[in-house]
Amino acid sequence: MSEQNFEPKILAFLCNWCSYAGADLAGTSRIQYPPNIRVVRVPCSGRVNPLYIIKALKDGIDGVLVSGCHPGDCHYQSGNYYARRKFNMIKNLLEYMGIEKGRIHFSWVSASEGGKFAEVVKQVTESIKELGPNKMRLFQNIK
Amino acid sequence: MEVKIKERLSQLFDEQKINCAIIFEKGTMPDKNAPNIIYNKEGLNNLVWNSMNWNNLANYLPKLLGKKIGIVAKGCDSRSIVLLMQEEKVKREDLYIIGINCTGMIDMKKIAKDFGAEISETIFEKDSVKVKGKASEKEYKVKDFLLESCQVCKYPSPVIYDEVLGEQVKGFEGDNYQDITEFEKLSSEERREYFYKELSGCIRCYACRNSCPSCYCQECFVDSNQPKWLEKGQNIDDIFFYHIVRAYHMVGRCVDCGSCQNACPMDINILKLTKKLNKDVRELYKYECGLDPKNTPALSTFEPDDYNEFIK
Repeated sequence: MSEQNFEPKILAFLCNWCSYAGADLAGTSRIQYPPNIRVVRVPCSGRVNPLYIIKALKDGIDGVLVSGCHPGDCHYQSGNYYARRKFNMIKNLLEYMGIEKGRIHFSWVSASEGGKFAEVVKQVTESIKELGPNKMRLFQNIK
Repeated sequence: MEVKIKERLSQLFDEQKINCAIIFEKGTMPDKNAPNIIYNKEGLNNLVWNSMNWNNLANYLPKLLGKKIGIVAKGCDSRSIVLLMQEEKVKREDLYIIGINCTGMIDMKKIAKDFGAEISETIFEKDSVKVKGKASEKEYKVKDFLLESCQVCKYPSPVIYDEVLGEQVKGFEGDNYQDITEFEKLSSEERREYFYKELSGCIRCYACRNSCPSCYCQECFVDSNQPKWLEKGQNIDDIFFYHIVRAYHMVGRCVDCGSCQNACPMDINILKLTKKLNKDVRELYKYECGLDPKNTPALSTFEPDDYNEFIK
């Protein structure tokens, strides 16, 4: 596929209570956003093991988005607070190892923010389009 | 030191305060000492204590759960014990900790390189080591050949103990993550290049995992085949995956003992990964692991106003 019409594959982990409902709202309100995301519904953003993110990148996905409830709104009281610490560490580690900054994204989207969800997906898709295909998958081919 | 440890452990065996002890013995190679678990006084005959004891003895504690254990602990070992206590893998009342004020361990890999020939014997004196080969002999100061982690060790004295041997040692006072700060300044490309070069030597023997006291899972994610996280073999993708996740599992749980790096047969600089995470945890969450059993590990707790800027 040429660089110009590169359509990234993006994996989105959406929390059941907020972001998934937000995505649903974006759909029912007929808000347009890029069709590049593949959604995995999880009970809570705290359920997302960073292993999933790395596994997805290893297996050739171009970018990952993890989205959950705003701090303080977690259905399970504190799942997203724990998740925030985990995500911060894994993000730092991946960047440190030289995986591009824009590959993984995190967002807080509530059930009423259909517009924000569409906006986030737009931003994420654009940033990954700029980066091009996932190089981690191509590690074996460089040099 | 050696005599004192033997004396104390044999007393403890006599008093039946312990029914096993984790000690160092002479290894099968002249440049390595081997940890061993002994169950009676006779085992003490083989005990050695010198500057080749870099293994973290706390590694064996979770496997001995329920026994009364005597353990000889350096600064880093004692911090690992604290970590294992936090995670309820070991009970304080089951342990008798003989703390050692550690003066640093010697890097035999470096010495072997410098020596050039095969080492057939090592003789330790107070702060030097005499290395003998077939034809030559050379003496090295321990101070000049310290392990990377020992050079910047902040806690050479045990943080938890029942008794302590040796004179008080001063810890390193500068910034122990200096090398990481410098490495971070490189561009993303350069860093990737570095890790690519470094990790492509990995043979996935998992010695780093096995020598680490924080890695005690019954089934490691690399061994799991349901789900199967990664393939066997030396594909660079899988190597990266393994090292990222191994390092990630150490967030807020690494005591910087350096045993992973020392155990590595391929001389990979693994500390570059774990030290980075330690540095981040210290900066972001003001937490350093293995100092107080009452602390909660960094990822098991949270503050409502944690760093949030990276989230949209």
